Amino acid sequence: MSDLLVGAAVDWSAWIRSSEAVAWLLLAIGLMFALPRTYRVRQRVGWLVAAVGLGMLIGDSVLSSTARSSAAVFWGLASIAVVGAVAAVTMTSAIYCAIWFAFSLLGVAALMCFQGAEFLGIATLVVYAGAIVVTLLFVLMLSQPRGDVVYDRLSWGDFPRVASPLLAIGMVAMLTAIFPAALAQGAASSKGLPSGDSVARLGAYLFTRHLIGVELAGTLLLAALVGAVAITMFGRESVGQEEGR
Amino acid sequence: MSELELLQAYLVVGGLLVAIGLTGFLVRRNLLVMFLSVEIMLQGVSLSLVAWSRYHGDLGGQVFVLMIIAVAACEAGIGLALVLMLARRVHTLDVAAWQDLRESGVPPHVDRRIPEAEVPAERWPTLPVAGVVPEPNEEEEFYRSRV
Repeated sequence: MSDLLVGAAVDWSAWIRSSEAVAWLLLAIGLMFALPRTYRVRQRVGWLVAAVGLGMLIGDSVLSSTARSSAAVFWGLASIAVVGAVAAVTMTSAIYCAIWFAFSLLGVAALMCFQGAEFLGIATLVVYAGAIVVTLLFVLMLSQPRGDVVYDRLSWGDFPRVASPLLAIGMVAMLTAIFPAALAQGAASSKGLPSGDSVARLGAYLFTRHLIGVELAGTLLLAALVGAVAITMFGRESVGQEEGR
Repeated sequence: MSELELLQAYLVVGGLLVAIGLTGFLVRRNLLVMFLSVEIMLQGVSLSLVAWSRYHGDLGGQVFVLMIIAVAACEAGIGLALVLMLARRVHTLDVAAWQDLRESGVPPHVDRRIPEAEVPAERWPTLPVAGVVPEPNEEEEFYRSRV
């Protein structure tokens, strides 16, 4: 791995001036302004700038691709996932956040199916969108009857709001810049998954090589179930004692 | 798209999801939105694992993603139960309510100042013009916007 990173010579000064770097920068700045702060006008500007950045990235990738039609399908699905994620992180109302998260999951599940992992795509949809988002909406309605509250309209202070999008997006951008050079050097040729019924193959693999892992995951789920019930019951008792005092 | 190109594109999307989730987790103050941000980060990791799994022709990556889904379900159950209990105790979902959490006997330490809420000036509807246009009364408008 260290060979890959050391050997990957990237011309950073040329990269900084490339349109790709500008696209990443626009995405980071857009995310920065889209994160909630009091005035909504700024948030809309942020969404717009982030959309322009994402569009530039997608346009670059599609145009430079050798097979444009499949690249366009891929980036269409990917933009569903990314746009949903950005909206889920930046919306002021937590209910909208949950709904946009479910939208983003649609994109992720579709990307998994695109990759030949149909079972994982369906499982993601069933477990996340079916169970977790519904539970989340229940908790939201139980705990927060009012709509627009101050801690949703304001995020943490200016420093985290400016620094974290720039750092996080910058990290991904630099990794992306290193990637082609590193892979061209060290990548073994791809084998690809064998064709055929992918679900049946995954099932056979799962229940032969990873049988103990499956059992452990089941046990973990049972323990989590018991734990959640215990937290809810005992937590309620202690809240009752505090209020009765 | 060639296999290498596809792998790169998947890793870019996975990395973007992780970056967006990380930003949301660090910046947002609502407990539930922070929880959602963590889930977004998990999605990014899952996507990268699936991509590597296809690239190497090894189903181990997909099995790993199944385990991630199982752990995420556990995390959701316990996390949401905890959030519910915390919200019942302080009647808010704000994490800032818990930032002075400490043992008894330890002096309070607030590591981050809570940003102040700025109240935007409200605009009230005005009546349509009829008769003589009154002189604008600046003092009255000053008080009006703060009713």
